[in-house]
Amino acid sequence: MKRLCEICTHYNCFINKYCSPEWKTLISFHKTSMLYPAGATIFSAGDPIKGIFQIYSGKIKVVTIDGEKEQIIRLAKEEQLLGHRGFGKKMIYPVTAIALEDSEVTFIPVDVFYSAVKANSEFAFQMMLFYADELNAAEKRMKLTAGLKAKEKVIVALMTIIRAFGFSSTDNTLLEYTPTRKDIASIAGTTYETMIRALGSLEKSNIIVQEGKAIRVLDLAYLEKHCLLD
Amino acid sequence: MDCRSCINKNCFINKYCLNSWLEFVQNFKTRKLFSAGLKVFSEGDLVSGIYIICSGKVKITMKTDDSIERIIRLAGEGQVLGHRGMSTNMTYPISAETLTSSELADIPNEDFFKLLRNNADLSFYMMMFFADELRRSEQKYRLRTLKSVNEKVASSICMIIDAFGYKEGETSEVDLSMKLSDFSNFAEISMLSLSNVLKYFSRLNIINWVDNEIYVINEHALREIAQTER
Repeated sequence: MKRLCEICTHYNCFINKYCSPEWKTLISFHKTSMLYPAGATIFSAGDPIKGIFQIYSGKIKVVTIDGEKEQIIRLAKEEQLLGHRGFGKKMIYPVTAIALEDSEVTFIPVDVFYSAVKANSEFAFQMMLFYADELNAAEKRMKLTAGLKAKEKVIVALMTIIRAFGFSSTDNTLLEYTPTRKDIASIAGTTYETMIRALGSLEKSNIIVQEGKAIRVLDLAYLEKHCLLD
Repeated sequence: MDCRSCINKNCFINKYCLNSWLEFVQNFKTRKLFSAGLKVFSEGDLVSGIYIICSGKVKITMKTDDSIERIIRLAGEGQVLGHRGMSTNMTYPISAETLTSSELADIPNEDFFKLLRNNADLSFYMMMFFADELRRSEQKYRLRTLKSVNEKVASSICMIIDAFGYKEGETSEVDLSMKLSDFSNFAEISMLSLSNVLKYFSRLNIINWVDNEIYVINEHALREIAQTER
């Protein structure tokens, strides 16, 4: 399906916000769109970069894989850019992106993206600030995670999920999307068992409730207060 | 020094700003001279502007949770300094200290933003620069957690070559400009392991290590070792 930037209602999208109408038309012309079922890989670490992806709908995890170990470094949803890591001199993806649920992802070829950045100075400026924030967030994560206790790591993971996807629109304490328990461990950077124990302990303290697969947050203030990574 | 008559053609301001804007730069740029071993700014300081290294060499350090100052970046002539402060809270997450006597140019924030908004090539460069920094930073993190000592030393030598290059008029002597203790900090291994690996590389005829100077014999082999990721 063709998704046109000119008539798009994703108002937080950088292209929508910062590109001129003429450029939106040009970007739409070159843009392609693909559907990925849950579990499908959008790009893999080591692949050459040919353009930039943007999530039209759905949810994606960005992971690094070392041998057997998978570490989730980012959760992303609609309107967000995908595959910006690796831009620069090397132009090879350092990470892998996998759909968490059925997702539609658009793709803009790299030369069109570059021209759009160069021609729309506000777009370029905002992209630079976006990367600056990503750099800071990444370094903060690296600096802190090493010293965190298991429970603190799981709290950080829960807050990461809340900040990425928020709460359900019909039930404001239920997580809009609860990743699998295995994925939660990958976000926290702990083993599966450690994460299960930490969730159990949070449940015992009435901070969360596990409703089957889903997680309900009873005490958001507690999580926010004890999240050492913001 | 007036940017328009500057001979440093690698400087990103010189390269990516329009001539009319270079004139504007002169009005608000201040020149600062530092001798070796001086702090340019410290972690937690308020960010008031951005620095450009006109000449000299600087190390950028970050305090990890075990309160060790880790060298996370090396920067030389023509490069940006203090860009990690350009995020939402505008305080430096890192410290910078000169390795050799250096001349820095300081451009206040609001003027730098004005430059970015009006020079598309400059903001494009800065975007790509941040993208590279993000990749390098995450690579460096993996270096700390995953790599063998040989890989650590090889990739640090490569990173030093990328930052400072070879000594003037030399084709094989690495422009180290730092003590061995700084080098071992950068490579994230002990001094003892560092000298063992350097001796080992010398035996393999990849480098020649004499009088604490490194002469690279086979840069290709060095990069091969550095890239055996995972």
